[in-house]
Amino acid sequence: MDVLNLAHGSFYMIGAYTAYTVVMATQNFWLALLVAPVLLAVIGAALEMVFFRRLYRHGHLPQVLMTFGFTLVFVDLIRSRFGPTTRAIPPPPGLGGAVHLATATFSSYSLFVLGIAIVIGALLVIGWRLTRLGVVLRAGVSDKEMAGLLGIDLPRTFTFTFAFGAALAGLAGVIAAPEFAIYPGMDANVLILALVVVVIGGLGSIEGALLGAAVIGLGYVIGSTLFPQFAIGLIFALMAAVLIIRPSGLLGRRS
Amino acid sequence: MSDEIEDYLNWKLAGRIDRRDFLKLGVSAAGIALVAACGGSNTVGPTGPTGPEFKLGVVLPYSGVYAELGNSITNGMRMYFDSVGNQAGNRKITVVTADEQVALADAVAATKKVVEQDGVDMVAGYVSSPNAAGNRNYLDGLKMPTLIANAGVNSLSRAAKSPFIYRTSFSNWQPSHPMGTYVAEKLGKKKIQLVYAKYGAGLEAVAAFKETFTGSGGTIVGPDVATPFPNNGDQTPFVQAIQTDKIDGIYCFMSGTDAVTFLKKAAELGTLKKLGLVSGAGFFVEQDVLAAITDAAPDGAITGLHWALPLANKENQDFVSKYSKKFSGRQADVFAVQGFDTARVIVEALNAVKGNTTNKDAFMTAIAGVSFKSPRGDFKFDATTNNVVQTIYVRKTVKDPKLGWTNQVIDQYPGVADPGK
Repeated sequence: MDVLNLAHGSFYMIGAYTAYTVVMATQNFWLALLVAPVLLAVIGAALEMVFFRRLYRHGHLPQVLMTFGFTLVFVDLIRSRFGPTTRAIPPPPGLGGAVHLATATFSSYSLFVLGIAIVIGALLVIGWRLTRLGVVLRAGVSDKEMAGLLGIDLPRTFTFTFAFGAALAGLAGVIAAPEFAIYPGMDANVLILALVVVVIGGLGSIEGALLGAAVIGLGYVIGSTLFPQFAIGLIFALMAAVLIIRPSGLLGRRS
Repeated sequence: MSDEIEDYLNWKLAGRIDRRDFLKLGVSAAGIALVAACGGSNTVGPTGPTGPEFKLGVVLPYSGVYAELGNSITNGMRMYFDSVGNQAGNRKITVVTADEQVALADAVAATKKVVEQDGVDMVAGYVSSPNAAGNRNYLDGLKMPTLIANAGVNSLSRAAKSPFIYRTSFSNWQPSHPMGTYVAEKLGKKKIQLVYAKYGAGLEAVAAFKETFTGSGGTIVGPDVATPFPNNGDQTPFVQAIQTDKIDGIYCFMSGTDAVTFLKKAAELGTLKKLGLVSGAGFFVEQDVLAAITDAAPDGAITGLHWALPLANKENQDFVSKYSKKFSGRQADVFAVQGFDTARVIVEALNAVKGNTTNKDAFMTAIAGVSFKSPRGDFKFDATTNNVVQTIYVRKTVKDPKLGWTNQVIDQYPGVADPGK
């Protein structure tokens, strides 16, 4: 789709607040895991059809401006509804404890997050590489006109893809809610990390994003343990190093 | 609403995007922010009928990570000013607020705005220490009467103190210094590991604890667990760096979101249960944190602070119930108390000089002489440090049948004064 969407962090934040609302009302985390992606898919589809669709032709800068505008709108909506207070929800029943593996101790919820991430990552790669939708999407990204001429309904495909992306971000927000705290501003924190991941991995490459996430995740944790004040700096140093050696990212297409 | 958007935009630019900008967004948006920054303030409180106006500039964060603190302090101030009809010394008190935000550049702009554009007679506020310290020379140079309502950096009571800047909140040294003695002597815990967010407040707090703790025969077991501030990542490696089998407990300085994520992770990993003692500066388990983590709270944690929600004195009971009534069920917190007391200092000093603030030295003398019974206990200023002298309460985290998770007072150190000279 070649769209730069800064509001993706907002979708993540809305997912987390949806989880908070659902868990407070029903005490059921699994319900939130269903509700949030659906809600975000609707929001994503609506935004795509009403706003973002008009910007595809105009390149990245107008996209950045409009989607950045939406991050401001969303964070203020969240703040006016929930206030600036930090909130938290407990992990779902059964996942609130710890697991001992050899000499290490992990929280069961962290392992659960790891499992979900592997499943979703695998599904994305399979969908992208092996399904008809994946072929259509790849065709649409690499040559819009030609794909259109071949009879692909691009507007519908893009709306679906955007909604699907928003739903995934919402799902990520729900999954992150018990692991981290929920507060206005959580969107900006994750968005920056996500952008770094994508840039390091290479734009337009799902495998690249997976690799970038592993590099950044390890770099951030190791960095913040060894040099607490330099953790963010280390991430950007990593990004700079990657961009110097491979300007299009680790697995990005050379242009 | 539009003010909030402007403020948020400014915060994004100053605190987040500028520093991490790789989308070349900063330049174009900074122009918008410059135009927008002209708004962002408003007046609080009804106007009173008497005397010439006394303008108070309140510089507090209303956006960004400290927005909650700014709101609480403002609520506390508003509550006291309203209780005296927004007037003192035959002058009407008008409050002009400006958003301190997060970064120093914004706090400086906010201060200059209230001083130069609104022409205030006095300034109060500052949640973050770098912002208070960064405005110190400007305010001192103007001989602007100033009250610090939160920022705890020790130097404002020591090397960087000013005859025009008094602090109504605390110095970072104050809540932690008595805790070293308490943990080593009263609790008999002699092996403690330090856990803290690695920034000014964290370092000053654990240093104060260490001083009395080792002085009372305790041993600090290394290495310290120092987390980034703020820590937006996983807390697991830091929780796991706590050497549960070698220590009697931990002494911790963290607050807000960091405390929430750390305590949750420590509860999940079972670390809290293995510790004989969880102690720290009270912010670690203050009401905002407990409300978020609920049953992941460290039951029985022993912390030091200058206030506690269930504090039994009449002033506090009164304050807590009226605050909740006035602000639609919101629970009072330590920051609201600081705001309440800050407003009271201003009102009492204005009354003492009968509203005449043209002689600034006389006005500062009046401020220095203010003392009263606060919700936190006896409140007075220390003539040496210009910092508040107050009781530090030793509190135990418990689940109260009425209040929910809170901190019960179990001991106290009255009259704790910062050791500045």
